[in-house]
Amino acid sequence: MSDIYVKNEKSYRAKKITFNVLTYLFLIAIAIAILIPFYWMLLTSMKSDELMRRIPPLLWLNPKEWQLSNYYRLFELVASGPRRGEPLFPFFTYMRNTVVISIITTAGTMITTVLSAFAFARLNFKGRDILFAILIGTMMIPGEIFILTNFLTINRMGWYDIMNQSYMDVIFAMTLPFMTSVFYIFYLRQTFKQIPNELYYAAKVDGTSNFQYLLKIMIPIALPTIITITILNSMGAWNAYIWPAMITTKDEFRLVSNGLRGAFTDTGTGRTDYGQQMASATLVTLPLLILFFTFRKQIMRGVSRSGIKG
Amino acid sequence: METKNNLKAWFYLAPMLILMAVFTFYPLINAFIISFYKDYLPLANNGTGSISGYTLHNYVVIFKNQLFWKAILNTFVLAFVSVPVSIIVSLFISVSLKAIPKLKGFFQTVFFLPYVTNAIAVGMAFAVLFHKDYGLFNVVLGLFKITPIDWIGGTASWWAQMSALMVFTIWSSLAFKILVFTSGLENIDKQYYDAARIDSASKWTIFKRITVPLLSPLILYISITSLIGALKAYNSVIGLFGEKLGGQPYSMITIVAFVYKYRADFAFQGFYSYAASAAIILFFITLIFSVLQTMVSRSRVHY
Amino acid sequence: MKKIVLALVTFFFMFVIVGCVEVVTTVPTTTQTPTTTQATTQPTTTQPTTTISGQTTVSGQTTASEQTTVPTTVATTTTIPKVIMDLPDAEVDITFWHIYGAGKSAVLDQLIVEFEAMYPNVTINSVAQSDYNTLREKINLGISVGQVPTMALGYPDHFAAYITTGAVLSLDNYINSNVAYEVLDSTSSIVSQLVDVGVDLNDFPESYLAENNQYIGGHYYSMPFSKSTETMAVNRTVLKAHVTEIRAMGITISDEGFLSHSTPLTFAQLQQLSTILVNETAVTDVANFQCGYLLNYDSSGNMFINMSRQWKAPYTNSSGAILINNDTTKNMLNYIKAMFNARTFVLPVVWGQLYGSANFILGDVCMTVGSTAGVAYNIPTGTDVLEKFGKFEVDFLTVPQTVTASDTPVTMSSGTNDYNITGALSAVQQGPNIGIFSSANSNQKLFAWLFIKWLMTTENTAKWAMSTGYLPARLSSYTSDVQIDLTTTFSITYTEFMHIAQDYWTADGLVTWELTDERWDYLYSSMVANVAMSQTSFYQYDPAFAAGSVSSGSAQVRVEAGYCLENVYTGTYSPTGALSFMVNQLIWG
Repeated sequence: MSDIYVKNEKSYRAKKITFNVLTYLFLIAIAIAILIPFYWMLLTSMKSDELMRRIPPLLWLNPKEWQLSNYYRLFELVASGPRRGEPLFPFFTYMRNTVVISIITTAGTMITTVLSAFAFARLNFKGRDILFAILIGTMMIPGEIFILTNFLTINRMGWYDIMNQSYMDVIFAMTLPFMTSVFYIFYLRQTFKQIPNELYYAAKVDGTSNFQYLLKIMIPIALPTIITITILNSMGAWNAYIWPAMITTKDEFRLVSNGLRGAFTDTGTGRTDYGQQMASATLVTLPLLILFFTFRKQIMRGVSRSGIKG
Repeated sequence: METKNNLKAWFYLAPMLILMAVFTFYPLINAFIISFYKDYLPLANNGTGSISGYTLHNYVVIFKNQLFWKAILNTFVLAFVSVPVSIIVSLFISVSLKAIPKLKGFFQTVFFLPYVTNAIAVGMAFAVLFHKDYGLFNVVLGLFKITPIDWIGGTASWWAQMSALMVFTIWSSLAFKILVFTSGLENIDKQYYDAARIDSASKWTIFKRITVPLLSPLILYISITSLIGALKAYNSVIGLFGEKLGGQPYSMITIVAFVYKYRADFAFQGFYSYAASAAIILFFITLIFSVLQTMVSRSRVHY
Repeated sequence: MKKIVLALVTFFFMFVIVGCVEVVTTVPTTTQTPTTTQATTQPTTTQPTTTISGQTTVSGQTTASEQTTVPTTVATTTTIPKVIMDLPDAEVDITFWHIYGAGKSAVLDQLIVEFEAMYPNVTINSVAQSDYNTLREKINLGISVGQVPTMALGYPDHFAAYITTGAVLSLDNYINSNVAYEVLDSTSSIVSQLVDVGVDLNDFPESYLAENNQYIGGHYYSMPFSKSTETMAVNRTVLKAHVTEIRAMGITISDEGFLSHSTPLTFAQLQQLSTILVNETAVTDVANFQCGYLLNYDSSGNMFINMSRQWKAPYTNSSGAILINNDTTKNMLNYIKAMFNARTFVLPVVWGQLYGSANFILGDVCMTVGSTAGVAYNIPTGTDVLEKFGKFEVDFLTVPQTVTASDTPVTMSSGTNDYNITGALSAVQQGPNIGIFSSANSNQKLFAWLFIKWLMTTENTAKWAMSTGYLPARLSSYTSDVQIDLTTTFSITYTEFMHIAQDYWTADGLVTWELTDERWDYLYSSMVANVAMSQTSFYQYDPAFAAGSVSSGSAQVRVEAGYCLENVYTGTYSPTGALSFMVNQLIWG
């Protein structure tokens, strides 16, 4: 009897180790594939102008050849003229704007998303499925089609004024159109739907209102998803380019992406200084990485099971 | 109980609906109407615009353009191959991530990187990877004594270009999927797995009978949103091929790229209508497939 | 060429004589203007007397139709004595939209500071948009809601579009104006100069002017600002190695490998050079100084357009007609295809690049045609062994032509076919111009115009050109003697700058300058400026028009032209097929 167990255990162990090794190899292969462009971004940002133009491009730089001039140049100050002493690329202004817009948009989105996802997941009302289908439908139109009409709307509200645009105007114009997201409503709805009905009925028997149920039970249970959505949403402001470019009238209102996108392209030749652009992209990415790293555990955590006992 | 729910539900939906009405529905309806305008001049009459009538002709123009059909082909192939493949790959990655005892955090951070890496950098890197002379892929092919392929250059075949675009698209889409599936996997009650192990079920059976069904709500979400996103492919083509939209001009044009082609001349006689028409056509195509997907999944999704 | 010089000389003399007469006969009038807040800034040239009429009848909106009595023959207005008026002293805010990045913005800002010192009541807000597309879209949308800046930079096709809505101000009145203002000095607050509102158009290259008044009614809707052109960079080291053979073919070349800077190379000569300089295979043969390819064209769009003009093949016209579907163009494309096959011409797509400069430096191609703004990219700097010819010598020449003088018949021979055409000299002219929008109020318009004038003064346009790599918009800049500070220790006049290359060429490249001599740093840009100046007489602009209801705008035509040549090169389509595809994309509906 014991012989059989020993044999099974050994082969079981062997299988487990092989499985683990294979899994690790698989993951490492994927990780390398994922890392390549990121590595490329870093590498390019540290090449001098001359090395940049090499064909074939250099795939590796000795630490001695690392040139941080691209990074230094990003913090250069204007030498002369009316803007003397100001930074050439007002990073901090752009970052500040991006953070402000990001916070406001995310706050608004979270409110609309949680409320709407709750309604679609838990409440039974007439027209629920049709409305949901229509909302999914709105995801199917490419974003630029909206720009024309939204621009006219923003203008009609008085938030776009070439001479007198105030910071508040810009905030309204940049946040309101993006305070809803069918993409995240759908995600949260799926998560809410996975919370068992029994919980709901039990709460109802206890006399809890819908809203209390949402606040005290559903949100805590679905917190990882909610945190995920919050973080992903706030990252959206980093990459927003077209809309901010259209509705800002002054450089000091710009967001990070549109402030920097055309900044390194020479208008005469049409060529872009990729070294500088990658340096600025790296700098801009850092806060996002830090954000993700801080909240990683929360994002990856599962639904807490503490609400369900027995 | 029913009526009370009705009213309450609309209260919950109100903030979202108001905002969407102004910034999403209104432009959409506008675009729909514009697609039927004849000789639309948006800037005439101080911005009110002028039209000379209504017509279906804009749609005819779109259908007659030989690039439109190329765009449809490219978009369909890209969407219907890249979406299932990326879902399957990300599922496997998520399951593998769950299975390994250590280094979870490291891998999770790495797999999230595509989400935060600058899109231009990604495009540049892939353009280098696929370069016919010094790209990594061709270097590897050379090691196996296979003749190098032109993936994205002037002499690239449609297959090569589509493959490169496919790799690029799948690569970019993995991060979000892995994120969703990983946190979804954490939701699955350990009890199910324990029960399965007692029954000495194989890993594959566990995957097929437990993991996938329990993940099905999220798989549905991912498949619908990914398909919609893939049908809207545009940035990936620009990132890999530049404004030329292909190794040869327009060879990898997608439907959205086709729509945007009219944007440059948009303010003038009729062009915006053409763009709107093309966009409406895309909308209907996507709608059909989303409905199909939802119908198919009804029986398979378990909440 | 001679006719132009004669005309210029005649105008110049007339101007001088008339000016003398005027100075002798006019009594300068001082403050006789009524309320300065009225529309005093728009004197019409139909009032030749010295009385300053109450200008209240002239509204701020000067659209072309209101000025039907203004003749466009500019020179004759010099018979009208100058009217000196007071500048409006109300506070004026002007917005200027452009797309200059950090470096060029700094130069612009400095010019703005000096302007604001001269006109203390004026503030100019210069806002850089991220790129041309954003700029154009914001203005397009802005027009529809009445939110446009006072003035903006733009390409001719942008302006063509704005003009169809009546949004752009016609500048004819200002150009022909006889008003002058007493203005503060740019560095202090002493009134020290008299600034004319009008402009002497003779100081501008004719084609720059033509580009800016090609629009409806032939009025000027913009003024040239950041111009550039294309020149050809050649590998002089390779040429020098073959001097005897080249001379044997009847091509002028100096002992150090300098081809002629006064006569352009013709395509026939390029074909001859190809037999010497191009290797049998596409791989450069360093030992024998033979390249894989002879001539690269960075911009296939410009190649199509410019060669069409050189072949006198119809391309487009200002009304928006797209005329490319003709036999001459087809012949041209067949010729180009043959040249591609012979590796005499090549496009960067062969190396999977966007520009040919990197491969030019590598030695894969012996010559390359590219923008004047991109000079530095064509100069080899490193001593890396990867560059096949090492740090070879570079010279800049006029872009190759079909003929050496316009309207000469020539036979273009592709080896299998001969095409008899009448050739013309042509070089591209690129770069944005500045215009003013009609929705601005009259004070804004006046000062916007004065700002444009300020940007276009001989000294300032020379400064702008030297600092940015663009070309001066005025002919007098090339001979100006205003010191321009390039570094903290080095300043130069534009004339001296032009001489750098001229001295170098006269000495056949064997100059005795010290290694630290600053002239080495500016040698190549000086060469390019000289070549650009010699091309000035045959610049041709690309007609600009907005999209019609069944055909595309000029910008899209250029893009498709580039794609057409690419398709011809890669063989995706035959030359006729590529042309049909191009037509199909541009004409439809």
